[in-house]
Amino acid sequence: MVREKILSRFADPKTLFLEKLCLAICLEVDLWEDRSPPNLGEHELKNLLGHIPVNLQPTWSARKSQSGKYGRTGDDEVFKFEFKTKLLGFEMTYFVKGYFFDKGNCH
Amino acid sequence: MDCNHINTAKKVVKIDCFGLTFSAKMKVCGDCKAYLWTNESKEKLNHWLSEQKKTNRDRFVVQASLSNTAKECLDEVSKEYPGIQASALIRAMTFVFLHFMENPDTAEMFEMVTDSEIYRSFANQEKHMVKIQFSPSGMMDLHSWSKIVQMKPSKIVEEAVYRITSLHVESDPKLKGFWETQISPQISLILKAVA
Repeated sequence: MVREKILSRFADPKTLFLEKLCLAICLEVDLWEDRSPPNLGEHELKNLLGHIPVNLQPTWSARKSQSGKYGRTGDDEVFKFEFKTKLLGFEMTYFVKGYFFDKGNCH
Repeated sequence: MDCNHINTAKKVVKIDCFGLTFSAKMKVCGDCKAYLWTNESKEKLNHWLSEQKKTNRDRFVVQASLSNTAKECLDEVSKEYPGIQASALIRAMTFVFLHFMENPDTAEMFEMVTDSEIYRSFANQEKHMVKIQFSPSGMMDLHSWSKIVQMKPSKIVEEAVYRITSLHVESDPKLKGFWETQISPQISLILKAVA
């Protein structure tokens, strides 16, 4: 899918958050790893995308940092959400936080 | 601490990768010490991994131990794929297992099979060591799942073999159907691709 087509999907209010997240991940991901406490990486996030509930509604808050390649041009709001899944018999809870690199079209 | 990474600087970061050390200049947070993966650093890592595969092949090998019964079951499954080496079959099973773990519905199928007698029989037996060679991307995927489920890569390979060979002999219609329509064709596809 070409970038313009993906951006038009972002702009569509009917597009679900999870679809936007999956599309954005296909385009580009900058991810902080080895945070305190330690977090999982991009590969892990991609492997777990299918476990995120389709109708998930994240919470949104103002973004505090403007550093990074898209710090000034990216969306002004940060999304946060949690999801649970069961893998190999263990129930796991994951927390995801981030922002989209294209301002304004994200929710 | 929910760090916003405001205080950052570019530094050389050393990262352990299958027992090898990858180093690259990356943005590092002065507060939480996290480092930022970008497309540029990911490309560097991929290139570095390809080079390492040529010179440090042993780092891309996973040594798993399979029970006697699992080995016998594996021999039985391999009859469906004539001429294929056991290591290639185990590798294909691992990829298929990890692929279906991405979907909660199919991951659940792998959960159901653990109730079977055959799966339970794999525990507490004499073990055979097997060495499986992976590609850099295969190894990355295996290590990624290792982090997700907090299991050693070798244990994931063992679980892949145990659960898939258990599915092969399942009589439950749902699990039998899963083997016939999804697992077996995927294994065949991978084995044909590498043949």
